[in-house]
Amino acid sequence: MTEPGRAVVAGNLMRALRLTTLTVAAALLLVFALPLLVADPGLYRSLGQQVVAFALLVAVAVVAGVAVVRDRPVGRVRWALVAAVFAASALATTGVAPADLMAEGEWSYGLIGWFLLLVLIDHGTTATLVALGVFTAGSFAQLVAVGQGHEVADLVVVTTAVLGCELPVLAIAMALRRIAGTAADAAVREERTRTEDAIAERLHADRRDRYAELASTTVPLLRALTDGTADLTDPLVRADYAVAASRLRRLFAEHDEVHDPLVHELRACLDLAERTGVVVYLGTCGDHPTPPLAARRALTEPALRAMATADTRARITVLGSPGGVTVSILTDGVGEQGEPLGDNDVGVTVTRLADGPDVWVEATWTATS
Amino acid sequence: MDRDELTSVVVVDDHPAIVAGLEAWCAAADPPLRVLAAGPTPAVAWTPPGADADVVVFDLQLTEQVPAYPELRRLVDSGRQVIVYTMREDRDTILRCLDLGAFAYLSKTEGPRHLVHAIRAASEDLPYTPPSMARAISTDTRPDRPRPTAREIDVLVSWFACESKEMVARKLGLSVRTVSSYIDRVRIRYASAGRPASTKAALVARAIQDGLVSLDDL
Repeated sequence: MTEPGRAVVAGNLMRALRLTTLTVAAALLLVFALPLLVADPGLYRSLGQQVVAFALLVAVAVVAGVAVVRDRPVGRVRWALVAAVFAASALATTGVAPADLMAEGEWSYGLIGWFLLLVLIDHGTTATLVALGVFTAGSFAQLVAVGQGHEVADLVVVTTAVLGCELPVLAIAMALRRIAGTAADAAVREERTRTEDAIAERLHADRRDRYAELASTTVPLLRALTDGTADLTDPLVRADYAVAASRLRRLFAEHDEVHDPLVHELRACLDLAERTGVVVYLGTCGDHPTPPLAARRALTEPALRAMATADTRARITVLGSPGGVTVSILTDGVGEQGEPLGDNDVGVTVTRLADGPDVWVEATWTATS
Repeated sequence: MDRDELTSVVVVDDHPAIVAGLEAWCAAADPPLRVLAAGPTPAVAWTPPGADADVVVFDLQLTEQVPAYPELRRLVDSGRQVIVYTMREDRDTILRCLDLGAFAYLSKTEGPRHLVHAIRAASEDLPYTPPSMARAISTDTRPDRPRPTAREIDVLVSWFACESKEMVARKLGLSVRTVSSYIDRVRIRYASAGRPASTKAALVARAIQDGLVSLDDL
């Protein structure tokens, strides 16, 4: 069974337990207490107190019963109900003569514990135990205080019988709560593990893609360099190396935290050309949104290639508009290889215009949203 | 100005290499331009022989920190054609100089391609808009700015990108003449919106005379 499934089952069992408690409390009230009360009204020192106590417990049963049936927590009235239960107990036990405290006509003693369970069981084990303890201790104290100390042994017997029925209910509630708790914890753990797995997988795939890219571009170049087959006197071969080196620089720049990633990565592409004596001008015009990484690569790629063949000068401009950005490259490099033109799948359009020795390439990204 | 005479220039710049380079460009121009005087302070433009120069090439950054706006203003007020030629290329500085009545603004990276043309244009009261100026105008966001049309902005931005009116024309499907007139019209509107100055009056008057703009446009 899955962990969330266990939590649901634990929740259902808790509801059944509360319904059982409600049934027991209501049955005791109507089937046990009411007949006693009606059978011998003359027994009580104050019948009025008994009636009020009974009515209080009926009210508690109704209010708590509504919550139980609707499967809701008792809520904010919980502590008022606890007070009502204790008040009912006090009224009922002070409404009989001290000598009759242990008589059969004192109807309330066996009920109070169940009512405390009814009101507190969904709140927590400790609170329920404390309430039951306070009630039991109070009862013993009362018995002694009214001079019936000799009947303590009888009260012990009755208390054992009553608690013997009530405490198992509390134990079951405690067990159910623990099952639900561990199920929820396990669900959180499982979710976290799943997320970590997904991140690790994504990272791994990312690195693999990057390596695949390098394996097809940089690795052959390095191999040619080491086995001496690269003809470095050929400007086209040198351009290949320049492009590969700039791609690596751009790759490193992609991991920097900067205000404007596009211009930062573009600068990384231009770095090498500046070292080879090409006069590079990089200017921006207007503000631009930040394109996603794939679009930034497509935007900087033409500049990166153009730099490899630029002869003496390159004018790189980043032209921003609210809906997109254009990277414009003007170079005097005539050895420009075929530039991939037109649209690609990342929304970048490349256009190219040649005028004598000058080549003007523009890569435009338009935000789709 | 007598057409037969060479256009004369005075250079206010504190860097000798800049002055030397500028003199070389002027000498190589066809027809050549004559550099009458050069010096590190505006005084060189106020005293002979620099006082007679047709065009003042003015470095805004004469001291390290403060742009020399007051000196620029005084030169413009006395009716001189001033081309600001300086390191800075930020929008606000450029727009401020245009407001003060500078004839044109060139960043130092634009010198080799545009300075000689700008000097020639200044001596003839013709507008000249180097790329950095085009950029400043196209990104101007001040509330009281002149409003170029979307097409004019396209032309200005493309001109900033490629520095070639031929390429801009081909890219946008216009004639070179139309591209030039778009750029110049915007420049004239900026001149017209700026502070009253004799240079501005000359620029606008020439533009109306040439049919570039009509009085209604302004």
